[in-house]
Amino acid sequence: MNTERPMNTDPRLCPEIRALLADHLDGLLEPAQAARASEHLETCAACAGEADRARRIHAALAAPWDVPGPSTDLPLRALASARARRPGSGRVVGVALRYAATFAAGVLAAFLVFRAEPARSLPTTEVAHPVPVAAPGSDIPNGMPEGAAPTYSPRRIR
Amino acid sequence: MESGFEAVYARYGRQVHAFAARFTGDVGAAEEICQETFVRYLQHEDALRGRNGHVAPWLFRVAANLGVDRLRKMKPGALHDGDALPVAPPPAVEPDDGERVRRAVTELAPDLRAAFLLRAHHGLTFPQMALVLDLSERGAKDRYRRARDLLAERLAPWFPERISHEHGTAHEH
Repeated sequence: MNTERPMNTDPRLCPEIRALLADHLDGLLEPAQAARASEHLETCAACAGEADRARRIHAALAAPWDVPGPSTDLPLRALASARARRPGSGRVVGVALRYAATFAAGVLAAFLVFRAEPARSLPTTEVAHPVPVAAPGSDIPNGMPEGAAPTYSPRRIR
Repeated sequence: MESGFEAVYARYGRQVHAFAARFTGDVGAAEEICQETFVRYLQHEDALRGRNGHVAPWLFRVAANLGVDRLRKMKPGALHDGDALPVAPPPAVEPDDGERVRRAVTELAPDLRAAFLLRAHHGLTFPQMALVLDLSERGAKDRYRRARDLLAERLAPWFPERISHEHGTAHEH
């Protein structure tokens, strides 16, 4: 009977496999190397624990942070800018007009909805989140809490 | 099917904008970069038509180049490795892990930052990254690996467990 351990469970492999864990998670290993690492992780509890920790760190690094989306008229501005640089392009003008029509329809719809809304009376009771009022002599304008993020205003490329 | 400005913008507009915002750390800059990227797309639309697999890398490449130009304006002088974006003063409260990661990514050199964001946050394949970064596929892998190892090294004190680094300490070039 052969009592020798299979190669993939050999504890002497542990340092080598652990050094490859991050690359293994990122798909950077050659297929044969990846298969060897997977095989070892299936049979080595210590390395499997290390792989779990590496996986958590990998997930933390790969979690994208939120950023605001593009302004709604960005494609329209891109089309206008492209048209300005390439006057006479019928296709660009056509696409720009379609975007402009969509944008105008949205504005019109919002206006009509706003007009159709009945006027609401202000509550006379205390509101849950009152608008802060600046102290006399303060530089902070009324309604602008201290430290509030400035309103984003997209700039136009010249 | 990636054909026509509308379809391409609908598919990649948000991604390009988000990449530019994360790369420069400036939403106003991202707006300009994204706009200019799609202006250039319109100028090269005919050449890109029918080359569906190349549209996304082409857009990210233009955005990354514009981002580097923008960083030069934000921080005059050559952008060498180790150059970081202006970092906001530390807040009064302890940042969470997400904020620590954001800061650490922002402190990477632009070439490493781009490689990390393209792969980890925008899901580009290594062949696509090679097109964006003008590298071989192996070069793209190496650059991503350097960025990832640097981040893991810099963030190790804050994570509950440290990542193993038997393969050596990462260096920025």
